[in-house]
Amino acid sequence: MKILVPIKRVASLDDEFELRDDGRDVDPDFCEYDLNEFDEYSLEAAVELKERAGEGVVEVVAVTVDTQDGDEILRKALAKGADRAIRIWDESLAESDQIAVARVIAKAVEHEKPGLVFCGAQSADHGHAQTGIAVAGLLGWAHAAVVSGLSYEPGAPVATIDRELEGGLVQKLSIETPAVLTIQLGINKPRYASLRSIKQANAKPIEVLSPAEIGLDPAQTGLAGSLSRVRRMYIPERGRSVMIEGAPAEQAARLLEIVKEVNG
Amino acid sequence: MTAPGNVEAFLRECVKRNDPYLALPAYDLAQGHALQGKVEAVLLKSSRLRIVFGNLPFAPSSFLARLVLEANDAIDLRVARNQNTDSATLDRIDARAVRVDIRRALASHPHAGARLLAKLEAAGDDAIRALVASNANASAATLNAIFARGSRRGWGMIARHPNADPELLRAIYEQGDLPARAEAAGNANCPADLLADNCASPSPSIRRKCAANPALPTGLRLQLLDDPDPGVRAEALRAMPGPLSRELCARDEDSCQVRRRQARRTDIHVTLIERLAADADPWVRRWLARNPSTPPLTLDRLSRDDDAGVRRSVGRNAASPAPLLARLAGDCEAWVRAGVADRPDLPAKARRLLEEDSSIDVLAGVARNPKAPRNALSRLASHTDASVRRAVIFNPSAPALVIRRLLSDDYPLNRALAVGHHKLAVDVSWTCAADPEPQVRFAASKRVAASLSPRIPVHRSYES
Repeated sequence: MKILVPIKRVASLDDEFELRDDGRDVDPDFCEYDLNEFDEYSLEAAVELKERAGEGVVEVVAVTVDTQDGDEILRKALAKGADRAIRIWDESLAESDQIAVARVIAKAVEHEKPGLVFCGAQSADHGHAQTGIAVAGLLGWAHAAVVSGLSYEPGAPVATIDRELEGGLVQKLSIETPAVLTIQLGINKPRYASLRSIKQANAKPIEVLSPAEIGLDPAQTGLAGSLSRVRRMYIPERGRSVMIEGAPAEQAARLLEIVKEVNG
Repeated sequence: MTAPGNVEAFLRECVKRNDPYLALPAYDLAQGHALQGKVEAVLLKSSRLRIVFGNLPFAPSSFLARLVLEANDAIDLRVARNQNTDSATLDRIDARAVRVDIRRALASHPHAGARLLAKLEAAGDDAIRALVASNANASAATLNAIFARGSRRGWGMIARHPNADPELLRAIYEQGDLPARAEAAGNANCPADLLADNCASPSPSIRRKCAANPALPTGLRLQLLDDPDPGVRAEALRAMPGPLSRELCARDEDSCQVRRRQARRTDIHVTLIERLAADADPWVRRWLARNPSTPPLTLDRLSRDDDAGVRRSVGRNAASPAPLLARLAGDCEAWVRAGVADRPDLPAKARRLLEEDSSIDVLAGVARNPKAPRNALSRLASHTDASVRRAVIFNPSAPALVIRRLLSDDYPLNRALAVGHHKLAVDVSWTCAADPEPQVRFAASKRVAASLSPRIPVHRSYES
């Protein structure tokens, strides 16, 4: 069987950053890019299933919707145990929102025909937590979000999963396959890629496909296929927080004044 | 792979590989060299890199100076905050700094010179002046200027500043609020008459600061040892020069705050030691267990204490005898066993026992032990836990062959640390110059740069 693992290159911001001239995103000069942390866990879950199943039973395919810059995280996925890597891109995909990205991934699923799709529960930069669920909706597949435990025999018609709920509750449920699972942090311990596997990954090919090659209608890509558009990004004015300056005794005295003011 | 044997070859290699993380440690060596421009081109090839390097705490100060040659606020801010930036570069930034956040960064930089701070004081607002007042390089004149402006903001910082002169401290004492007066009373430059008066202040905060003041005459400090406030007595005891008198050495105390302070002194009487060893407060016993002057018999008693923290403290005490360490190696608490695992004076038999321990903390301790045998270190270097493997790297006596294996550790931080191990030959470190992780390549390059710098001796002969 095949497990498809959609992954994303996410931005983490410097302590001090500036916005792009159009005010709709952060200037990339102030961003560090890496594989989405949630996707490290979904990838590890897939690779663990593959390793438990033995040689040749499970194939793990990492896929990303990105420019050539996305090759770096695909290589990382290959080094961590993915068997193949696919990057889907052309200029028509620029400005895609999470739903438009889900349309691309859903087409990739139809193209690859996996038995399971493991997404990260959300992306660390935008945090919509929608892509995986939207993929399931577009495919008409069963889905479960925020999966914190997984028991599955490759090829079986049903998987048993745990989901984290409020108040420390865990919900155990069965889910029919094929299915889309969005994986929560902490479900496993993602591995570090060994130097050897990094070198091997650098020699592996990355399959690059255009939206048209996977059968995606141009009306469903990029802005045309999106349900939302970023109008602007900004930092709201600060609230009532105040930095207490001065020597420790001065800070303590001021803190006491504030407590008295608040308590009346 | 042989490491570049001279500066020219090293710089050429950095340029050829076009790797900024290799080129950064080479920058000092490139100064004035024909290849300087090419090395700079590698380092400055993207605006993202300039921003990243401006932030790096280990970027050479010469390179930070180069970064600010082109005016760019984003880079200026990062370089002004970088602790490696030298005073000349800060002056250059100041000459064009308009943004308040940059000027604040300059005002609080530890390398900002007295003249720059005076300039920032003259042109700044109260917030910048408060930062100048807390900067150790601010001169007495600058501190007086801040005070003369009348805003009370930052008076506490002026009052605790080592360059505040006695008359300024007197003025702050007369006009300031209680916290500022307390700081003035604690300043070593506080006028003697003011200090003496303050020892009888109704405010415990002021008396505590007096008790801690290193300039307080011994007679006054002795008086404060009888103060009704335990905080004052504890401070007076901490600052009391030794050795203590016989009476003070055996003094009974009802406050655990003061008894904790007693337990830390190395000049207390044996009768007091015995009392403190039976103290109900575990922190008193912990401090006593760490005290290098605690006699072996008392340490033996403390090594059987119910509190694991006390037993651990005995294990960390340099004066604890070997048989005691051996007993603690068999303690039921892993944290206590870990406390003795890295000690070179731990008897070999006990150390061998710990080599088989299941606790990561204990194994990491053994891995750091300079007396750990080669076969144990070799085994620990293959442990599944990255922190145990890293502890082997921290062992200065670890054989080069064991460290060499760790150059291919899965965990990048371990590789970066292993590259710099002094037992590795520079040629071996240089094999990591193509590592996928920038921090590892940086460490490899730094090792070569150090070997080529006349200021830093290189040990090429360590490899076994």
